[in-house]
Amino acid sequence: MRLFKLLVFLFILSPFASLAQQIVTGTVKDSKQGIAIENVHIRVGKQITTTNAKGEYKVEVEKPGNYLVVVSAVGYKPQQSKVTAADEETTNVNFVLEVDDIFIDEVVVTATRTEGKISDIPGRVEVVTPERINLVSYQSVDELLALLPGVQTSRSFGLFSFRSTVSMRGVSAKEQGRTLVLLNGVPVNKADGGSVNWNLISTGEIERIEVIKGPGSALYGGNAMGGIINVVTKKPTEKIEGSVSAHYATYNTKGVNAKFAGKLKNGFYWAANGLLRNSDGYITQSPAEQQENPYIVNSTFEEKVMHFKTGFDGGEKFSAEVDFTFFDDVRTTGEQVYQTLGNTREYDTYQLRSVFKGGKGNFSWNASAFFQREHYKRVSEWFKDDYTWYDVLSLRSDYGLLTSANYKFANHSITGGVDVRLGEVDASDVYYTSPDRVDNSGKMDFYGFYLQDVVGFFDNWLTITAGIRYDFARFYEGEFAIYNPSAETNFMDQYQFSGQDPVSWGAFSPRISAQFKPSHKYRVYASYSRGFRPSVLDDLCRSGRVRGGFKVANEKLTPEYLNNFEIGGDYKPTDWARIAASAFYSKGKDFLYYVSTGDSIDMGFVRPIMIPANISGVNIIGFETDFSATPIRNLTVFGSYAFAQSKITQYNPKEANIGLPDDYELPKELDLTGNFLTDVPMHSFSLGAFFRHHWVNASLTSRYVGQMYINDLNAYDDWVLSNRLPAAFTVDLRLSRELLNHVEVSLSVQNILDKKIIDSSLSVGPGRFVTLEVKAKI
Amino acid sequence: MQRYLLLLALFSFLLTSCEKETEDNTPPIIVFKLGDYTADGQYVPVGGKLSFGIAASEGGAPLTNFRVQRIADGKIITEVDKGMFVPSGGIEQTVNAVKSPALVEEWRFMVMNANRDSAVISRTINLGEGSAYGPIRHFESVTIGMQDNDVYPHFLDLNTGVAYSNETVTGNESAIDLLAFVYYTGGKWSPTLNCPGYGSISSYYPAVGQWETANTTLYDYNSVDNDLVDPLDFEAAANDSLLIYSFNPQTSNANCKYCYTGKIIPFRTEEGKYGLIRVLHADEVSSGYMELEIKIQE
Repeated sequence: MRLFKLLVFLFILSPFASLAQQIVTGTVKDSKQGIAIENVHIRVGKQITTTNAKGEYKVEVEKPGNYLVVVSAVGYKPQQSKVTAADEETTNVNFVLEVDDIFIDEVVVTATRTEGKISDIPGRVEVVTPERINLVSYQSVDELLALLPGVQTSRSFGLFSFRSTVSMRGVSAKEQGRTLVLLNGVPVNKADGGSVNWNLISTGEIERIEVIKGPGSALYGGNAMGGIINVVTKKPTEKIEGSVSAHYATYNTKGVNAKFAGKLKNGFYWAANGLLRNSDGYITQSPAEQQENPYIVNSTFEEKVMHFKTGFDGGEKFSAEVDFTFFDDVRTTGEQVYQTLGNTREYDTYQLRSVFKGGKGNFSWNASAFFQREHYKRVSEWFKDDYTWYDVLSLRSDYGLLTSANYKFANHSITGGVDVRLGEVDASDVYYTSPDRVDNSGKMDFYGFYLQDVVGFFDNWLTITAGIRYDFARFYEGEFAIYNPSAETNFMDQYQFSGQDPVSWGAFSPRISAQFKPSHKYRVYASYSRGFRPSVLDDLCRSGRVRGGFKVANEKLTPEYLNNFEIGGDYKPTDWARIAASAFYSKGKDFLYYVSTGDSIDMGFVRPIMIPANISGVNIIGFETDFSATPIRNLTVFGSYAFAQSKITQYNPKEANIGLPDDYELPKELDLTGNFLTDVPMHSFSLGAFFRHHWVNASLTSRYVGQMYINDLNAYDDWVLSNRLPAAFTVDLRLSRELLNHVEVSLSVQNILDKKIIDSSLSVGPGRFVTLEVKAKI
Repeated sequence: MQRYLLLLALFSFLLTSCEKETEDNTPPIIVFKLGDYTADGQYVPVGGKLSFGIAASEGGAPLTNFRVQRIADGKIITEVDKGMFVPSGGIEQTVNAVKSPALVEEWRFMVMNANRDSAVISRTINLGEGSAYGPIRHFESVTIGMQDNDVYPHFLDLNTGVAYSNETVTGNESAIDLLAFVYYTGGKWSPTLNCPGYGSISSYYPAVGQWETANTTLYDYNSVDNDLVDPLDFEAAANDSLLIYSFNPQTSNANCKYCYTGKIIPFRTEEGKYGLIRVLHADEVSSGYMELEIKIQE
């Protein structure tokens, strides 16, 4: 409630902050067809904006005088014009852009924690551009990443999934914690399990997604092991803008979305976005599971998202933004005995982010504070010899402060800062068909400081980047307690703990890279970087059932590490085509696996006892290449290929300090040495095309994901009848057209070939998914 | 003005989306029924029959758990621990057991509802003189078919040793205690003993899902996995003492896997009768059959 009052107060204040303004306005059009160009980058002095769908822009400058207006857009030659802004008057400057080099050098923030062009970064950086976001067929944010080379998304039931994972560079898609995910530069990986709730990032809010491949821990610390994904949301450009849309899709999926935003005088802006959708769903279990379980029902969902932000854009001198998100969903997981919705997972999540930036001369700084609280409720019920019903109630909190400062002098650009990330979990398994209750809780703090220097030589033909970061982590107040145990939980009795001494560890993450870029046509780079993934609270302080057995908490877990060596380059043979390639070798150490202790436990049926331990070495060899070409103005074609071989090179349970007896001998059938990581396709490729025309905008994309091993043992699976999941080839189509200037209609067909895709959890995907959407814009 | 109204509308949506539900916190009630049941303080000889009649009502939320514990010689043995969901009408249960050698037994009967409120009553039973181990029935060979077998009957009445087919079981569903199927689990094919009251049995025998009375038989899986019953003791058993003491209620389940040829399986039926099954033959295909030798309390 307090937060709402503060936001309303800021909003009410904004009109009073306005002063008399000088306005520069105009339109930007294409020289060949004369049509308006959207999302053109406009800079007037220190003020920055973009054109709207009508190609219009408007900038308010502080004082009258002479200004340089710079205009740039992908595929067009940049232009600039001097303009004199008269006192309290509106000055009109229009531009007609000529076609040029298709590829503008996008500016990204994530790679260096300051603004920098992609071509200046000695590493592989991909951007999911606004154009791609507007054209491609997708239902959730993570699906936008699936077309990038070497990126693996795992979303078992499509839109009906409560969990999705995005990973890259041969790192298994089972663990989101091996890829850092940011929202406007602020981490969203939870300390509890490293997971990210991709469902709460509203698709209507996204401006672009920056993807940095390879370890990024030298700047960001934990989780940035396989790479970094930064979702950047839109800022308004008009005094008032907005849209209302409704969509209807397969399985009786319905949704409405309303977005309103405005940019006020003197730089203040606000935006509000709301989404409601639900679906009758489908059966996600495999045929074998359906045969065994008479309580199978459709997996359905209902969700609502509210997002509000307000800020002040004072250009490079100072800007501030506060952002609040509320997410509430219920997703059923396809089994119902007595409870109204059956088995469900519910998330009530509140996120608050604030970002402050400023600068003067060669110095710039950035500070972000964030708070995320997630109320998670899982309802589990089943009927075997009798009825069992219990809830998992978990409160997960993550908050922190991130800072960054950059100073440029001579040919150096030095960036440094301090980050603090705190996380905690407080959870209970509450049984209703027995008196048991199981509590687990714990806290984890991270403190990191980093320093990086980027040095340019020979007019930036040669750039060397060197950085180092140190992270200190502490796990404390861990507790696992059982109350009123019965047969449901008394087998866990011996694993209770509390009041243990805090456990801490530190991690160094160095990085060095060099790039040679003699012209805008090509560049080559080489780099070494190290990343780590910290242990998650769930493994540190919770014992309980896992697939295949019973796992015991291990508070002595240390991070996983990945050392990455990479070379790569880009080449533009013509102004309208680009090719990029990278090859990498990653060596992983202390990877986490569940190890059988040799003992078993009677949970009503006998199961092996397992303990998570840092026991494994991993080698990953990979290669990625992608191309993009716009041979004619309206048509872009693109494609990518990725190869990754990820193998376990070392598997030593005895070295993990998990209390195995001295005479322990690892059974041969449990030795994972030489096995492939699961959920990593050795081969994958994508191919697609975009067509833009005032009659219709169209995108046709295809993706092939090769076979993947199902389990750590690389063993035959009873249900899939193989040791690998079958390869999958999917094709998506999206058509959209603007009617009457204010209405857009789109038809999206995902998985046209209706492939029933199975993942390693043996869940069946939704198959062909058709969506019709109508949007009315202000 | 319009933007303020819009903001107000958005905020109102958030504020009004919270509702407070009213809860009924009335606890459940459990009582002993009147009738031909074992009385409080009664003296019963070892091996003698115990019988308790229970009635319970749910209070402010559905009944979700019924538990029976026997406390004897300092040990607590959970004889019954049953999850359920009874929204109204309460439950009535008859619990049958056998007197142990302990001088004094305290029997505790508990119910819990979905609010996790519970109610408890208890009865004390003393050891009487002599022994009352009872006679048993012995069925030397009974053959039943697995789920896809269309030669042998599927549904077995353990009291009589009579097996019924899909056609002849009609009208006799309430007498059925056991059926069998084969499935792939834990990396191997498992001939499995089960019962009509098991939650997913209709996956193998669809018609069972419609039965009004579906009995639950519990099998001691730990005894099966670890071959705790000596075959010679099984052959020598002439009264019910071995049958009673072979069965551990705390390691019992209505689904008994890996019942291969030669296995001996302690069980207890819905009405509380103890018994032993020796598997004379068990196929590992769904079209196969099992041949069983059964000893059960009279």
